Amino acid sequence: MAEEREEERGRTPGDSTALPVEDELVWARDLTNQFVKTVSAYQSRPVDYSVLATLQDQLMDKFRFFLEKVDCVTWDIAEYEIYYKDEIVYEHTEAKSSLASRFYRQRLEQIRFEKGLQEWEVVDFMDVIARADTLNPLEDDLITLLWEGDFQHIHYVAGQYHLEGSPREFPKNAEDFRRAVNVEPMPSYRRLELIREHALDPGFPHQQLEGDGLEVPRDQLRVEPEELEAIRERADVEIQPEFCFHAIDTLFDVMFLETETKGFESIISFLDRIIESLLGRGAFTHASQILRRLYIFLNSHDLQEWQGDLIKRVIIEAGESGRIETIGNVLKTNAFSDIRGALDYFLLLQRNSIPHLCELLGNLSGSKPRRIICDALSKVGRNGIELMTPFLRDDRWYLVRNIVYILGRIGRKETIQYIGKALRHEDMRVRREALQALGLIGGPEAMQYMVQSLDDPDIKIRGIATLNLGRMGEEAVAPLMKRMGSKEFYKRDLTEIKSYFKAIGMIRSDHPIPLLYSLLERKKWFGRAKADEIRGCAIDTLIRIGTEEAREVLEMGTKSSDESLREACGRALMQLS
Amino acid sequence: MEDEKDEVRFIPPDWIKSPPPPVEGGQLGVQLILGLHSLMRAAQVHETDSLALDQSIPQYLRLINPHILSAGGITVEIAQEGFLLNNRQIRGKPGEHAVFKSLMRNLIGWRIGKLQFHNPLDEKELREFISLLLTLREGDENNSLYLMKQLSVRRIDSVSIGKLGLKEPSLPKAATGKRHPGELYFTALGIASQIMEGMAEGGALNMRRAKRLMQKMLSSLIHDESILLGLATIKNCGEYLYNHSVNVAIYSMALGLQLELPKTSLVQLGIAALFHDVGMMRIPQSILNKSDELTGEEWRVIQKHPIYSVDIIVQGNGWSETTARIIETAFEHHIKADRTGYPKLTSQREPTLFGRIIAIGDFYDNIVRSHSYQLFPIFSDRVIGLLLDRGGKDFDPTLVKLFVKLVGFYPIGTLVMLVNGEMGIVATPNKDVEMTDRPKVLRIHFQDGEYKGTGVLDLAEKEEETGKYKNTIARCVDPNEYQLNVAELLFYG
Repeated sequence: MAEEREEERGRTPGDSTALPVEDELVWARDLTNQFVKTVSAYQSRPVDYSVLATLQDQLMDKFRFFLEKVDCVTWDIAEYEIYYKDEIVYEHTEAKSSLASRFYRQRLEQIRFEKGLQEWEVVDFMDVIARADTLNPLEDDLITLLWEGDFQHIHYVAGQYHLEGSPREFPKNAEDFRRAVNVEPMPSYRRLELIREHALDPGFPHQQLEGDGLEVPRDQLRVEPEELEAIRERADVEIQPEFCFHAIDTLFDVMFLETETKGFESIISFLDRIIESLLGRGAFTHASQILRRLYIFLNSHDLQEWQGDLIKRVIIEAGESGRIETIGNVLKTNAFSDIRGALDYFLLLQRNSIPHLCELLGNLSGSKPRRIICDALSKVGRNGIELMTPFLRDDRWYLVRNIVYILGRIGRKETIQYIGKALRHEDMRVRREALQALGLIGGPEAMQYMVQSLDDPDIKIRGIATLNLGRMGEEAVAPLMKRMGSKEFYKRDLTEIKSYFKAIGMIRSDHPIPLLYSLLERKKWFGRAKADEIRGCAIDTLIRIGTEEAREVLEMGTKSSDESLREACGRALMQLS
Repeated sequence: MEDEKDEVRFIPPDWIKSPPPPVEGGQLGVQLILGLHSLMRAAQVHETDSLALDQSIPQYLRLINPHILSAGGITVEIAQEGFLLNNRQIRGKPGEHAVFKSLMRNLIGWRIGKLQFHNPLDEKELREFISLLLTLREGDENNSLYLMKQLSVRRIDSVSIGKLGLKEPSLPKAATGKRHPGELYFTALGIASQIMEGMAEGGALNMRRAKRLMQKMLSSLIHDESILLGLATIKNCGEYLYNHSVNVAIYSMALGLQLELPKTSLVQLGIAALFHDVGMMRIPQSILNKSDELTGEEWRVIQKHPIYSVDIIVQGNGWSETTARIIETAFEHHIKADRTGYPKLTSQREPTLFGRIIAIGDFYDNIVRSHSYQLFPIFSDRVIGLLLDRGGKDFDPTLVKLFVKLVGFYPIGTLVMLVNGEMGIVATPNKDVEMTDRPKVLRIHFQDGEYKGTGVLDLAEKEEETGKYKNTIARCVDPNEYQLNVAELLFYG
């Protein structure tokens, strides 16, 4: 059990008898060094668990050995040193890294380890030391954590400066006490409260407190096991940190009831700080719940204009750069972040968040977080396409690709001109994404850009452009056919040529049929080997088109002098039937 | 002789003519300590009249004498946090720390806690003073007296010595006594007032301070709950709000202990209870102090205090588990078990467990207080009856029963008349439900014009021969009838 400045200090029960004084000091120094090393390993990031486990084992061995000899080890803390029996066993004058200094700054004056020390206590103790550096200094310190630690064999003495400076002193005697005590009755509103709120007799107090003793059946006082069980179960739920979030209900209740400007502002400002704090802790779902409730509150209550403005301000603030950066930091450092919660949060943001989300998209490396930002921007970005398009000029190809993807998902015609520009991006991956995006949007304007890509230097891009055009329907036939009608076209790679045929086939238009017919017979343009391939493509395309006119062409093919053509057209007709 | 002495004390002209550059207060302290240590080290090796000190003595005088003159004296003291120079801490750099420690060890060893330089010294005086210091024996409590006497014999009255005393240093072996729970209670009253006043002025809640306070109080409750519960019988100490808040914190944590809540939760509960009524600080004094019945409008203002509490708490504070607990309980401690009460909730939800616990503590502390014409609070079985009566309506019935088990059917502080005609004050409740009417009581007698405690009587004790109880409570008595403050008797006998 830890104590604060209440124990007799410096005493070491069962002073060493088994160890000579010099040896004792050597052992104390060794133990202290081991402790410092282990704490350091515990706090290093990333933790090397194998090293830490070894150090912990060594530390426990040393504690066990030493405590066997001396019953207890007491460290007195000075500003830069740790003393054991008035001798320095640790000294480090660099305030930031000195363990003694860290203890000293927190007013920890003495630590005592006693015989029976358990490994969990040592580990928890180190955990407390580690946490003391990261906790909220307004709420906790090393001493509050040590108190919560409930150690059985680790005791401490700490300065009680928190309790100093109280204007009240304990009256030393009855006379002082009488002077300290008022004899004025309590305020009348308290009596009124008892009468009004708790239905006490209006004659309270004298009528209630007069008369004979009260007879209360004992069973009315007995707490039945099931009653106790029920309330403890409830307690188990409510003491969980998660339960605290219910306080948000209270804050919204207060917002509803608050009639004063200052009070309303306080609550709104607090909600804003809560959002900030939750984001910093990675509690994105909770932060989004508050945002959602603010929207609901805004729309479901008859608010005054200034109230609405205050709420809107919080919502706007929720999407400002600081908040988005905070989320980004959590997403970067914590692989198990509340990704789903982050998406929920992003989806509730206003257009002011768009550039910050785009920036974050460029800064994140994880695929999952990037995906959810894309998802979010695909929705939130609808209201601010112009805020996203500047990022198409960004140096980071992957960011440009993501923005193109988002614009494609938004699917607005006005984005085509921006996506079209991305077709000239130096990185093939961006151009490919732009083609996909244009394909999603569709329409003549998108098609114009896709046609340009038929001349892209990259064959894959050309292939994608071809197929995308194939998906666009009748309007795409002309540009495709224009290329297919030239002899030069057939000098291209066969894969690309095939993609044209495939695209034509996807359109299922009769317009290309004459061209296809001519290709069945034409051999001069291609070498012999290629001619068969081209012919096969033309036949497959006719099958895909599958119209009456296509069938007629195939029938004509069955009458060809070329045996292989006759056979191929025959098989094709069988397929069509 | 006086003239001679004045001549001897004549300050060498060199530093008057060319005073050293001014040394800042903090620097002066450091140099003063380093210089004194250096003089002592040199004197340990050489004689004080040796040439080795010829340079360092005037140097030291040049350092301290101008400041003795300008400040009207210099006091170097050993305190909790180290050396103090004229009550300000001297902070050495890391490299100087060993010197500080060494000098401190010497002074502590000699049991000297204070060196005062009232007037500028001359070389001879300083040499003799250093020389005297080195003759002291370690651990001798009479060193300071001896030294003062020797200084007096040598007619050195510019220096005086104080024994190591009240301000114990933070070095090993500084022992302090156990804090009396009463001291803790009164400290809590003071801290509650400081924190709440700060909050009412728009400051942030000093959560760490509140937490440390509640941790101490909880430790005391865990050790022996009856002591702090007894202290909570003090109902009129200082302003009502702070006294009430501390009492409700005690009742709430004690009730939480009955539920076997973990320590961290109990501390949160205590903090929440301590600030449950902080919104009262926004209610106009004209309403709070009104002795007549309140008007409807005034009552509505009073009913706003839970909202004000939340306003005050959220100002300047960040989001944390404890803040959340305080917000909830401050808002809902007047919402009853049947969800009536105030303020009105916008959603159908039950008050939290902490809120329900604090509601009971709040009610109990109010009902046992002196009202209207009374001077002293009344504890009685009737109060417990009222509490039980409101169980299920205003309060959680199980919590009410647990609370009654905690404070007893005759709560601590109840003034009782025993069947043998003696009077007593309930000091410790009997936790056995079947024996709840048999607590331990402090017997009181009227003697020399006042009531005095004459020992504790356990009403559960039986006579060996007959098997009958030795004594039994006949009835509760109003302490106002006897002008008797039970708290005073409980603590001062």
